[in-house]
Amino acid sequence: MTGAASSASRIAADVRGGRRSAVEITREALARCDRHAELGALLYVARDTALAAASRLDARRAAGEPLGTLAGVPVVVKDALCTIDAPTTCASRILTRDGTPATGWRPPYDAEAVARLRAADAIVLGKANLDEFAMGSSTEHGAFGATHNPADPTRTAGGSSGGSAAAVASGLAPLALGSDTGGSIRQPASFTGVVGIKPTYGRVSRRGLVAFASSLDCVGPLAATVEDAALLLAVVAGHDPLDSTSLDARAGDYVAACGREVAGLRVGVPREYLETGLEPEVEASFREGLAQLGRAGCEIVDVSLPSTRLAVATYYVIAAAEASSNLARLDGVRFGLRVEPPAGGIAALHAATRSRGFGAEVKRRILLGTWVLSAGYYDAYYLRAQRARTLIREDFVRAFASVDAIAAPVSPVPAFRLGERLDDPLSMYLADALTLPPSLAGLPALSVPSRPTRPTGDRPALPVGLQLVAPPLEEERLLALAAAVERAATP
Amino acid sequence: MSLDRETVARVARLARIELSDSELEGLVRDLERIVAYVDEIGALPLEAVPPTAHAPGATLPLRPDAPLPCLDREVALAEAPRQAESAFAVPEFVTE
Amino acid sequence: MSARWETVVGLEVHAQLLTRTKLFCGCPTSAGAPPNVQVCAVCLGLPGALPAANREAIVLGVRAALALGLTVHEESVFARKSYFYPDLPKGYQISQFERPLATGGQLDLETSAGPRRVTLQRLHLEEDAGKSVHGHGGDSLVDLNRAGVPLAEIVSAPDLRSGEEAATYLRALRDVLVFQGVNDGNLESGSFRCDANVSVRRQGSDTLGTRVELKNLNSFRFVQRAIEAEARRQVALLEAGAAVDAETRSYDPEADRTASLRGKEEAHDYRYFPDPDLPPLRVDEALLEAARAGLGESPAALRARWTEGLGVPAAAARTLASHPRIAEFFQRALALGADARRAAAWIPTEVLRGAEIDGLAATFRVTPEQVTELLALVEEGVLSGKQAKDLQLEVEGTDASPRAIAEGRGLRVVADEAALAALCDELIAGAERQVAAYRKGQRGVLGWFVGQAMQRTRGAADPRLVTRLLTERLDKPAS
Repeated sequence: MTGAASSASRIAADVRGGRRSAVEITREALARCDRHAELGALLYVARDTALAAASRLDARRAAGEPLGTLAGVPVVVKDALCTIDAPTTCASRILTRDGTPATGWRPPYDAEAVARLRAADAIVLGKANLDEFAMGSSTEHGAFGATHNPADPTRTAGGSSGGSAAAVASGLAPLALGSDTGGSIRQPASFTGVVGIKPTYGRVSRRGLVAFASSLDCVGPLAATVEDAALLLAVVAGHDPLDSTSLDARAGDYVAACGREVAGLRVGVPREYLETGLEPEVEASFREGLAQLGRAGCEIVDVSLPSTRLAVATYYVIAAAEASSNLARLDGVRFGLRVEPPAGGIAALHAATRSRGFGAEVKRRILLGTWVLSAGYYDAYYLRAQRARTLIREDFVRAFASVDAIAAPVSPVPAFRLGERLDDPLSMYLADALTLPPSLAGLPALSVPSRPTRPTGDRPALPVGLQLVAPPLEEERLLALAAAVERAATP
Repeated sequence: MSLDRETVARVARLARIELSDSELEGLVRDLERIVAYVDEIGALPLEAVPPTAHAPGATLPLRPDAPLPCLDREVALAEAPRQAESAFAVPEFVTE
Repeated sequence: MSARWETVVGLEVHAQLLTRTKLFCGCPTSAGAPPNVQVCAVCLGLPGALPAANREAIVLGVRAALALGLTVHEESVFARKSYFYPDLPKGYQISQFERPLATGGQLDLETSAGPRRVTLQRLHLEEDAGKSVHGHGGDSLVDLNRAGVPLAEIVSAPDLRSGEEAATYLRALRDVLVFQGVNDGNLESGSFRCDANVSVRRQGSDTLGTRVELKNLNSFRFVQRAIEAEARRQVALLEAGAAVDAETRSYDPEADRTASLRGKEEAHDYRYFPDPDLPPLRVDEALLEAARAGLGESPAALRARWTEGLGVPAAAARTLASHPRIAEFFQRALALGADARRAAAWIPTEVLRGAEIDGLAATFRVTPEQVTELLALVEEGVLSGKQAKDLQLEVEGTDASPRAIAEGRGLRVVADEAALAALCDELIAGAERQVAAYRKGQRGVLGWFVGQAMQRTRGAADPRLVTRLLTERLDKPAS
């Protein structure tokens, strides 16, 4: 990891203690954004508002006011989260006035997670690139360009939170907010070599996250270290009475959890996951990760999650159905793009706007989702998928009766080349098989960097992440295990 | 179940998405493959399994009937592609 | 319409619930605001917005269900109903489908054909859509103030057999909802809306014919006439060998005809599924208690109690039970000791004449306390009926006590028989022509004499006594 050098907790301590100014830190971060613009990590750099916020922060510190836990820390926010002072496009033309990102939609409010960031005195540095409406696993499906992997710019940074992951990996900012519906934080974290956490469903408010699949979407942190990710999670987690799916449960002490002892914990490895055909280097990295856990005192155990093979189909039916419904509000009437055919009526306006505004992958999913919900097909697809989801959930309940956490690879392959998978959507979906089941079960899960692949003539060393999954509400246990892996990996 | 061209066209109309002929061709192909894969779930005996629509045990929280701040009208209309007389303007849609 | 045919009607009522804020957000629900000022990210359907359910809407929905004898389900589910329409910002309406709040109730009606019981299939909660105005230079203009207002949808079984029965049902349903403080019963403003599903079939058949939905019916009279017009149209079609199309139609009152509604999508596929943003609604004991606490006696129960228990005439009872504030007025007067029959005669005329009724609110120019005093003064013989009416006019808008005024002025009914007898003698002596006419058989002339006597005593005479004295004298053979 280069550039940002300081961890988030160090920066915040320095700003609170008056040793560094927020303006200076922000300027440096903005300079890094300029230097690394070709990575395509950010869709928008909040230059003026970030400097203004930093300046206000410095003034408050000078006046002796107490500052928040993220004082002066630059944070990059996935462009699916609403920001009141920056455009929010979800990497889609339909959330712009004229098809260009400069005319992106201006929400009249901050997402709740963003509001909590600001309340902790973080500085919103910019909006991160993503797959359009978070639909994709490579951040190539956005309307405004792809994000490149800092480890090898010919490869994707993963997706859909590829911009957030690349921003942290390239040191633009120590922290980023992303969203994870089927792996969209974990997989890019794995591909770029950073830490990415998908909290328990409902742990972080979804208010202000442009909805993709409402029963699966989670807002979560990305950072270079486990402790920094924990710091950000502590700021955004917690009950929101205006999000009806928000958990009414006290957030844990996530930073402290990083130092907790893990010896004696039982970690299960689902045998079905190893049958999915992992690239040998990925499998080797996974074995090394298990060994690290073993050296930390964990007992590695075999478990079975027999419904794993249903996960891809179940996920894609449910996610597409919910997405098709969530995106119906994008109709050119009240905001965003409007394409008004001269002789047409309102139906023509809707159709022309949506056809020109949505990209191919989004259209595919809207059509699939509309179809599985339509009359005559609801029982056969959507309802059945909801039943299969119960089986997948129950698999985990049974497994967690005998283990404290589950370890698995994140992806069968490391970062693939840009453009390699664009023509075959199904193959892209199948690669999500390892991250989907915890999403369907609403469980907390993360990716922590494990041993990278060995460099070959064809490709440099590529990051590989280790996935850890815990029972609902057990983020602290996850963080403790991830920190142990991190300590073991650091020479 | 297969997803033929006519079905995809009908679904596109339901979803208010206009497709060119080549787009339609491509989508029919893609969707057929996806659906054939997804049909795996169709083969399973799932009737006895209850569907998961929401997190288990979750119930709807209720908020008090007290007003919360509204948006200023200018703000509400600020992003409107077209407005008139403080309302969102669209091509006329009822002709009775 | 030929007697071979039977009209079959089911009604869907959408009643706005009287909450302060919308169903899923905290915007106010009050009517009459300028366009698009009562909106927020949630009811505008902006990306990222999430619904948060209003407890009071649930309480009122449960109260309405209890008042209508429906079974309230402990668990029900909000579902998304998808269709594209400019006044539906999210592209779906949050409603309830497979698991509604309540099912299985009834409404008892008094129709011209006798008492009827109409089965209610369900009551569920849903959010209202916005409003649009059309014809604006080729544009329609959308106002989202109303989007998100809570509605109770009440669906009857197809148990009604005529337009008249339908109107009776709607009035009775409205009375119940108004009485329970759930809805303000205002058809013109659209806070109480009705759609009718109409089909016809041959008498004696028990299969249902193709049904047509009638929408935009904004008065009870129009509902009745629209149903009748539609039934006639369907019968004519079927008798001519054609088929009835399942469609949506509106009613043109001037032509007294229904017409197909253009501009609305036919063949909707609503693609209902449980809303993932809203976990299942649980109606617990606390919520049921809150609903029951506000539950008053139904208008029907009040009418029965007054007519059977207190001897109040049916017509008066109907008026007194037609509005919760009127019923309250009457009941308060009773509580203060007013005679039921006198009060039931007085209030519908003397009190309602000057009253202003606006939705659930009503302002009366007098109080139950004042009316109770006035009625007592008449009963005691201190005032005549006319004097009481005049005195009421005097105290209107004040909180003066009629009794205090009457005593202060020494108002008395002149019931001194000797004095009145002398007056009658005097009147008769000076009205030979009228006396002759009376004795020739024109009994009505008696009224003239009574009037004269009332005039001479400035309304203070006891009219019954005067009448008796006059009659006794006039009926005596001429001496």
